[in-house]
Amino acid sequence: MANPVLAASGTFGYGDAFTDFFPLDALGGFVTKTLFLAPRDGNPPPRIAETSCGMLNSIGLANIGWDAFVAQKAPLVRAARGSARTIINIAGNAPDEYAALAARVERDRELVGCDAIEVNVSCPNVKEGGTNIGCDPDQFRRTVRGVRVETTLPVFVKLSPNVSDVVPFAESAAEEGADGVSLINTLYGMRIDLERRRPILGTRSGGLSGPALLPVGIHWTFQVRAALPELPIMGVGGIATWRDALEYLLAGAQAVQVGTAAFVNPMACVEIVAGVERYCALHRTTVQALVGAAHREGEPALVPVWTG
Amino acid sequence: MPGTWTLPLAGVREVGAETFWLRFREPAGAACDPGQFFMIAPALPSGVLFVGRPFSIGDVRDGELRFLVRVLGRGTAWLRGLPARTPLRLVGPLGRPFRRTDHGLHRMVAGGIGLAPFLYLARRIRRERPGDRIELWYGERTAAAHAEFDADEATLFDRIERCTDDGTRGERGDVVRPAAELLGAGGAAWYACGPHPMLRALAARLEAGGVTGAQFSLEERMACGFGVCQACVVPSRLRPPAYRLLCTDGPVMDPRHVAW
Repeated sequence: MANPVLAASGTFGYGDAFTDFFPLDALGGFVTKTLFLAPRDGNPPPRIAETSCGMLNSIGLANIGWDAFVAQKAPLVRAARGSARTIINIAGNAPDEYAALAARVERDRELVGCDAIEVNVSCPNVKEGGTNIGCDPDQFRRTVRGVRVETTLPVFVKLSPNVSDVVPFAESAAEEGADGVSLINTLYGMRIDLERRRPILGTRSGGLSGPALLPVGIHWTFQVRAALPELPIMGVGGIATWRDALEYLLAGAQAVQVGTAAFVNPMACVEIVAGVERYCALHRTTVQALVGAAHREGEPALVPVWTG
Repeated sequence: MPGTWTLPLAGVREVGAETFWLRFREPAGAACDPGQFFMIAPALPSGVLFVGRPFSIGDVRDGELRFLVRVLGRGTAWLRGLPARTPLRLVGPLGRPFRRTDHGLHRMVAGGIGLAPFLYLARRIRRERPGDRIELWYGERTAAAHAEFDADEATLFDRIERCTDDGTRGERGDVVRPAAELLGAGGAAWYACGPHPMLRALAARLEAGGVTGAQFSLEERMACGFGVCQACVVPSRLRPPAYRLLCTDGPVMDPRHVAW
């Protein structure tokens, strides 16, 4: 990758949404909005609620479905992406739907020009009582296994923080053949309207994203890196500035994804790329050398340089 | 094409109870059409607002880009209290503007802060079609809430009819009834902006009166303003899809396409 900064799933459309603001190849890559085999309308509004340092969303994984993506979006994105890597984020209503979609991605991979798959396991299993696949160890394994069987593309699994311990899920993902993990998805949250005396969101609860999430993501990135030092990690959750991105790298992520921050500042990703490069230049280091450095207690501490 | 600007606030000017102009020097290269909007957010973390707020372009005059804003929550209260020169991040102009029409008569119906897009719309129609007639029906809950126009703004309209829910200024009652009474008086281009129940009522009256091509400016919660966050969905009467995105399919919509 040209740089370690990707746009996160659900905050970058299908790769076509930010072309008014910067060229795709300013980024290391991007992750598409979660795609299902069939299109989905998403949840009834209101779909967002602001929080003091972030926002809740309950978009409901609205998407155009795989066939429409291939026909309408992929040709433009493939032509425009330059050096940017395309990661297809997939989900389904049950483990077998994930596998079926992975097979379609594998079949259409040249047409789409995709470099990897990211599996969004934070989905209710509509066929088995609506339990969140990303929080159920058995369904989680079946889902990753099913995707792995269907594709030779690199597979990253985006883990949910809505469990008491994320590390066993990272271990399961690795055991089932995943090539890496993305840490973390949104945290459950709710806000209540004082006048209506009802939850603000149409679905009552939603997913918390934004800067409030940063320390949670750093924590799990550090823990997973400590437990599985060889497993590649994409750090995601709460990154709004280049400083936040560097924290993820130091905790053990090889790359980072920027999401909600780009809603507020469409140039956030590009500014983070520049900030990370500036930091590396000032400290005469590389992104590679920074990855996981927070774990290496034997190394002498750097002389601090004020980077503004 | 939208851009991102960090602009110092030129100032806040009160024009009615809880209602004010948020003023900026007009950014170079921003081609603003009436009905479009900007997302306005703190340029630096504020601790108050996190996501931006969408505001209709209120006016472009005297080298300034202005937004007509009413205090309705934390975000707008924060904006009103800002000192001049506070840097704000503006993303825009966004969304689909009002369509130009061939009617020589323009009727704008504003409920409360739904007045926001109409001064600039009237200004542009005046400039582009000086012979056209422009009428404004403007309703508020009470007299104190009415935004006052300066001499220049008052010249933008050939007729201004104000009303209030409590009868303290103009006719008593909502703005839909007096406006809709004109339905039989010949063809006009209809525009409306205001609270959801007002728009729903007006949409029903216009449809019953056989009016086509009306243009309503709607409002929804948004995080981005350019089609990514998918928060600002409007239930669509033309299914599929079940929803339209207000930011990219709107904010100006044909009321007959909305499932009110």
